[in-house]
Amino acid sequence: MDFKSLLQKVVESVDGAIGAAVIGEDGISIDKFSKQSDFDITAAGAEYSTIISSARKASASFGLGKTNEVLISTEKATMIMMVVGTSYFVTLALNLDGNLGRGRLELKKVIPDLEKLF
Amino acid sequence: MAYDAMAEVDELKKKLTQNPDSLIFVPLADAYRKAGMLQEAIDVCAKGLEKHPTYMSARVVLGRIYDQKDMLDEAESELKKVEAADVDNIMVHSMLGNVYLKRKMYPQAVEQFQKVLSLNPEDTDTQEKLTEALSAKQETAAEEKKQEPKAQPAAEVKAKPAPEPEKKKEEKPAEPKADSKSDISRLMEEAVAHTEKEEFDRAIEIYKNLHDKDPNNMIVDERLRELYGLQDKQMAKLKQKTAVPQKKIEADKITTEDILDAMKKAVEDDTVDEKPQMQAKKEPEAQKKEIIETQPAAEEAAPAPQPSVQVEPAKAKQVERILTNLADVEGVVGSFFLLRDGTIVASVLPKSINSSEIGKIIASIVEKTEASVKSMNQGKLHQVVISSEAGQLLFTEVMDGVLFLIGNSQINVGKMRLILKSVIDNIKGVLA
Repeated sequence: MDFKSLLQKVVESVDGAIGAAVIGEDGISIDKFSKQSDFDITAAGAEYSTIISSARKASASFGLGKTNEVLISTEKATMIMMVVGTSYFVTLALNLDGNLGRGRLELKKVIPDLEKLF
Repeated sequence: MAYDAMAEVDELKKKLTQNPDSLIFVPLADAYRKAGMLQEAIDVCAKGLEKHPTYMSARVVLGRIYDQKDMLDEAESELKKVEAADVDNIMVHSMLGNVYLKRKMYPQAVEQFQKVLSLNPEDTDTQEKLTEALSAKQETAAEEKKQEPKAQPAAEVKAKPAPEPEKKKEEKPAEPKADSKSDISRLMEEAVAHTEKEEFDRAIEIYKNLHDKDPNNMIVDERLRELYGLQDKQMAKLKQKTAVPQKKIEADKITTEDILDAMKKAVEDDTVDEKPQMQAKKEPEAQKKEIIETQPAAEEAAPAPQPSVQVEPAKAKQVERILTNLADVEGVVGSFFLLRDGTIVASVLPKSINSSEIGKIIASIVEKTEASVKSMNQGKLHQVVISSEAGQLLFTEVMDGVLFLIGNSQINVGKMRLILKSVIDNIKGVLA
């Protein structure tokens, strides 16, 4: 399975999922799958990579070790980001009524498969 | 393949035209790079960086494009800027290491790969590259050494044009003795410090410089010999590690449970970690039993700049009481409520965490996150949860301030969010 198929599988198995992407630490998306054309997951990746970097610094400041996951809830959507390997992360965007727990579970499940593709 | 890349370029170009101030120029530059249009990629990235000079990801991408175009000086220059801004950027250290390797600058390559491995010791690719860089470096050093004895006899034949080491030998006595002595002892101290940290290449570099200045210094020669031996051993170790099957590496890994235990123990001992930047001074023995200390806002905020929004001391006390109750929840390590300028209103934290320093860090993270959310047209930022190996951090907006919670890794995200809901309501009730 390639990146897109894996991402599609995640999006289709989570209620309220808008899109998913695999993004490099530099904010460049490796691949993406989006159900909603108005949600720009590529731009989100570029923006949220800076948040991942801030989150890493915050964790280090508290001596909490490596950051595994960042969850951001806004007025319009919820974004789950999970670290894949050392330089990438996978992100899943959900509607406000999306199933967050399922989203996290599906992302955790897909990470080993994504890691095999790097 | 080429068709896909161009389709992506067109799509991203359209998006950048619609929103010229966005950060989409970075994916566009990368799409150009993938399509093989390297000059276009450089142009887009450079133009974007004029608008967003502090966006380090763009510099990483530009560095990668320069590298691909074999413009190694330019690649190094861009990546160095990122390194200066973010010393723990593993990707940049790795890319810089590769650039140095291509340029045959082996000591620098070794240094960069060592940095990568200090951040991620299990990176087998980098272990291999480090081994390669160390071998190349040693070969170069051996070749240089071979040339040295040839230069020595030349020193005695004054009539011959003097090779470089001879020149140095003749120039040396002119240097003021006292200065060079203090310099030498300072440099030797530095070299010892590097040796202790197992940064052998840096120590070797220093001793080589010392050797150049004073070729008859037997101590320096002896230290150099020792260091080459130590470096050999380090390389052999690395080679061995590289050959170790993945399973073995995993078995050697420190588990999350180990980290959790260490953290729990640290919290109990009130020392949390030796690493945190905001570690407080040790408290007297008598106070050590107390795991969590409440830090009243008024005194804590005293040296801080005038906050934009003031919270009455009585209200701050009430917020502190809410946070104290929160500390009783299983898995909660600490919490604090701060204003936008980083001023702490109330905090209940382990003593080892210096809340006034943390306030500023958190305020800056909140500001960055809000800027990203705004730029994404995602409305208001509600909540951010950061899950790490040994714990979790959560921050959420409450009226004019931010509530920040630290949990250990046992607390589950759902539970944390649920608890926060009622705490937020209570704080709102106090501040309203």
